[in-house]
Amino acid sequence: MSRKPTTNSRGSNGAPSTALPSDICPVCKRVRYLNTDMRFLINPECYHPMCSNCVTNIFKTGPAQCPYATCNQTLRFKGFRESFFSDLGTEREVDLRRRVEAVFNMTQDDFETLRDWNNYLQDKEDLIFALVYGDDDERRKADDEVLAYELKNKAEIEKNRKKAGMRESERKKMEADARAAAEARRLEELRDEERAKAEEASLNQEVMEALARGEPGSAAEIQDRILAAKKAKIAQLNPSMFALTASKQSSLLSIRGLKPKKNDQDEDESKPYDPLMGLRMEPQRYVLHDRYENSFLDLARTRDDHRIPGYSVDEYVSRSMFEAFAGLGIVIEDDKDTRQKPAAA
Amino acid sequence: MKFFIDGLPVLFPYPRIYPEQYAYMCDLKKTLDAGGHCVLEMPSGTGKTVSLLSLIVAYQQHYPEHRKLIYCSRTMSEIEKALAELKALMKFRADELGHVEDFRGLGLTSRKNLCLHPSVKREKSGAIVDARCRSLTAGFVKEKKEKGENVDVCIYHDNLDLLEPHNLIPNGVWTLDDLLHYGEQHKQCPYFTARRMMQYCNVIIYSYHYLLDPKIAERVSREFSKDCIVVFDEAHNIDNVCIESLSTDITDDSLRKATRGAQNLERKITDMRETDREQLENEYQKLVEGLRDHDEARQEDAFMANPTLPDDLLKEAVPGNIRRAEHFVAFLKRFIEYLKTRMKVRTVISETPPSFLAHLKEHTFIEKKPLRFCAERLTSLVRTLELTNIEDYQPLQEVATFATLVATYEKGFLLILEPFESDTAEVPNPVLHFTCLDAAIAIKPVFDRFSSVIITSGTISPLEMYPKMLGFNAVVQESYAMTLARRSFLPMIVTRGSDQAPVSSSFQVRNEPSVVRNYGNLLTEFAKVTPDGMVVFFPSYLYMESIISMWQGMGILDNVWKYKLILVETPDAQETSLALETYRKACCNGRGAVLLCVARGKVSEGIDFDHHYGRTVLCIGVPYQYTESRILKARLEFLRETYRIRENDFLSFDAMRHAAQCLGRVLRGKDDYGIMVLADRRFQKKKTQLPKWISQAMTEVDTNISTDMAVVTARRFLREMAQPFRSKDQEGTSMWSLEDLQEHQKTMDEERILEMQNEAAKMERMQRPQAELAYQDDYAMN
Repeated sequence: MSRKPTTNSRGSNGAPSTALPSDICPVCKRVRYLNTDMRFLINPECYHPMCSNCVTNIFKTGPAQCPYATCNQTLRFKGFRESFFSDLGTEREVDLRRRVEAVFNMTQDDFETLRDWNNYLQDKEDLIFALVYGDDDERRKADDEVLAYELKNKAEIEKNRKKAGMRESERKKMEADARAAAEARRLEELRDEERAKAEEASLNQEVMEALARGEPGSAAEIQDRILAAKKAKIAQLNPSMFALTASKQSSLLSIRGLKPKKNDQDEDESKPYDPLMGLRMEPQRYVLHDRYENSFLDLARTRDDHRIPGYSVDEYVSRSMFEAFAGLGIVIEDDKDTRQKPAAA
Repeated sequence: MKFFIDGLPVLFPYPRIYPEQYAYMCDLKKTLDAGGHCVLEMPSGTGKTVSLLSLIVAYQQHYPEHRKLIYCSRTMSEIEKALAELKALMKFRADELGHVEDFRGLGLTSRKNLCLHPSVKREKSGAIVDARCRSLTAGFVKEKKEKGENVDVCIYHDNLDLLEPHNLIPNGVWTLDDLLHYGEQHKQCPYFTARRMMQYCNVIIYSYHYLLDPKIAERVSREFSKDCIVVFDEAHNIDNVCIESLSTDITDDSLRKATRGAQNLERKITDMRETDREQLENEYQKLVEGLRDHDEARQEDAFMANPTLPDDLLKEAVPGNIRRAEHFVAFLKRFIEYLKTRMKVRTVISETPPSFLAHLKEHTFIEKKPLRFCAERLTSLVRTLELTNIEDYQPLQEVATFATLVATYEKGFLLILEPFESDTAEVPNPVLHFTCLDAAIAIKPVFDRFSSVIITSGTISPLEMYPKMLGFNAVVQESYAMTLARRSFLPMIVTRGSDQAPVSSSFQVRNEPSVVRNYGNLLTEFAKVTPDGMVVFFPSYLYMESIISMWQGMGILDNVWKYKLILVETPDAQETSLALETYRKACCNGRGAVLLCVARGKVSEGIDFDHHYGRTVLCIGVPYQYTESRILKARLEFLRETYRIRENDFLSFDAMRHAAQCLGRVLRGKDDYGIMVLADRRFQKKKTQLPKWISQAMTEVDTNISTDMAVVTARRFLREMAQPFRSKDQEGTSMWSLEDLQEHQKTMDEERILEMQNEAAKMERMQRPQAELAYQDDYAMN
């Protein structure tokens, strides 16, 4: 085993302030100049960088202690990976952030006010800061907090995760669609342009042919005629392109985030058809009684010779009641105003 | 000279006026009345600026609204020229009207040009002047001073606070020099005087960037009212200015510096927590509430302004995870580390902002929203920490701006990572280009905010391209021809050499000896016939170098040397200015010189070759852009997808506007004359894309000629020009006195009356048969 290199990193779990080495492996002191394909790996247990050779040599046979001095973490081969950032402090921060984000994954829509959402964001940020820069106590506390929250809201977290995944895939699809549409438009345009160009190129030949055929009119006239016909054709080619692309665009346009609409027609089919479209015919201002005491109506009720066939007392009563109340809801003053206004205008 | 346009009295400071100037004014007035935007093209050297100013000032003074004029130009010298014109105009108006009007006109330029502070003004770089000025004039510095602490302040700046805030400088037109003098006399800072007086001005003249660059516009041009009249002069490159103002490049070096900046911030925060905890706590409380004190947030000494944020976002609270200072710094560090990792990739990557954000989120858990607040949050933090040595944080600020932009715009931007400088390079030097593809984004606020925007230049053809690219509707689009008493310039398209072989700078043939020799012959022949100065434009430095070395080998340069001194433009500004000086001297003393330069270089854009400084301009090859550039490719694709502008259309448009710019260098007025030669086979088809005033002067014969023919024509033309030419000859045709103008107005009126009469007659004729019918009906009834 090689000598343990000294390091300026803070303890085993502390934030390493080192950057990823670029040329010399801090463990075996190999230089990139001699092995051009040198890669540096880290293990998220302690974030100590070493070259891939060292990793295979030390950890291939099984778990071992980190070769850095004062670091007594036991590392496994499987845990090693390449670092995304060259600054390992940031790498560690982002790893921790990933963990917190996976748990606290609510979106703004879940909050009632913007302020609550902002407070939530800040709390989350404080938690991450405690995890990243805090001392042992703070870190432990924050860790417990995250765990407790995770246990408590397991279902909610899972739901949010799925939602986010769906949003992401939707976005990707939209992007791909847009790109494909642009590509199709471009190809279409190219083709049309080429066609127009070919048309123009054949112009000369056509004129010559027409002249050879001996068509009526002078040479200049023939030329003009053919030119006009061609121009119209070319012009036709061009607008057709726009129409085509426009229709394509509209079919590709998709709007997200609409609420599911209620379908009116389904409801209509389940109910019987109403010719009055829900207009109520019952009188609103009075109640029609079964019987109204009136001496001269009694005769019509009781004696056959006072009635002609088809006469109904009830019908008479309802009609006179209707007439008595008719027009009570209308205030003429209001009506006058509305009628005068349009005349004035 | 005083005349009326539709009842508007216009005072024009010269006794004569060009017909196109009158037409230009008429269209300008129409636009202002209608309240819309317009695109106007008027030939260079026909007094565009003075006609613009005199009409708009007349308009301002005549109508009670007193609409403010914001005049934007491109370079310092153009700004100074415009200010001098304005000053002369106002003097003329005062003489004519008999009293001095209530009028104030100011120019604004950078702190570097306007500083009076004895030590700060000695700094060479503009950025350092800005930073040092801020450290002397920031709000908290003054507070400290008042508390009795020993800090440096700028006496010139602090004197301003003793004056009335709306009357820092008396009425009148102040050129930049006047402003400096006044400041020196009264011990007040000219820069801040101009900045603070902008609201109380009738005319402001400054650079494009104060209006287009959202980072600056937010601070400088915020308080203008909607009815201001905005003019963009020399606007043929306005789309590129817009794009540049929103694009950033990030390199390894800038990321390293940004990291250092973030570390410094972290240290400051810990220091502050120990000494002045309260301050941090205050800031935090403010951010929680989302009650951003707007006045404070946008002070003139603010560290940086937000590049994009719309106002509704500004009122929102800062996201919770970057509210605390230390959280925010960690956030920035994470973002920078992520960018560093991305820069390690050794393949070219181009991706859209959404996919970048998705990748970012996957690896660093940075959401879009806090990213969007990045610039704003950084400003707030810098203010809280009371940092004075702000220039150290410049790279960090760039990264924050980038973050905000990338999170704000989904469309119209692209990230391109180029790991190598060129295709053959072995050593990686990665650059992350964040490029804006849509010129409309930067200029949109301007069009939305102001009711009249006027875009004008000498070469802005084809006119319909600009409204399309910049996303606005123009009320008036007009291109004016040049009225000339004699044919004073000769545009030609040379397509073949004397041996009848076609010449072209297209990639396949550009290095063929026959093409190079033919170009060489063209140069020699024209060097022989042209008196005094001659300018030659090449499409690129690369091609210029290769062709010069080939000419050297063929002995062509030795031949040219007999007739003219040969001078070359280089990318280095100082060398070029030396070359220009020598060129001028050689033109003046009769030796004559030829200047070889590049169509997109400094010379083609800003330097005039009037009179004997330029008698011939030779444009060798079509000045196309470098089409292999990934940024250009992305932009072309975007233009096609969004605005339906085809790649070739745009490329040829862009090439032709640069060619026209080059041609316009040589003719700077009506008494000037010059030859314009376009030497490429491909120009023949592009004739229609030249500005109207050039293409109209080109005869059909001259569009397709060989070198020897061109020389014959040029010789004849020069002989004609050599005839004595008195300014009296111009009168009536290309130059109007007041009587001519009134005559013209009368004929125009008569024409209009005639037209109306015709119209009326036509109407009557239409109505008469009906009337007759009715009459007959009546009769029949009887």
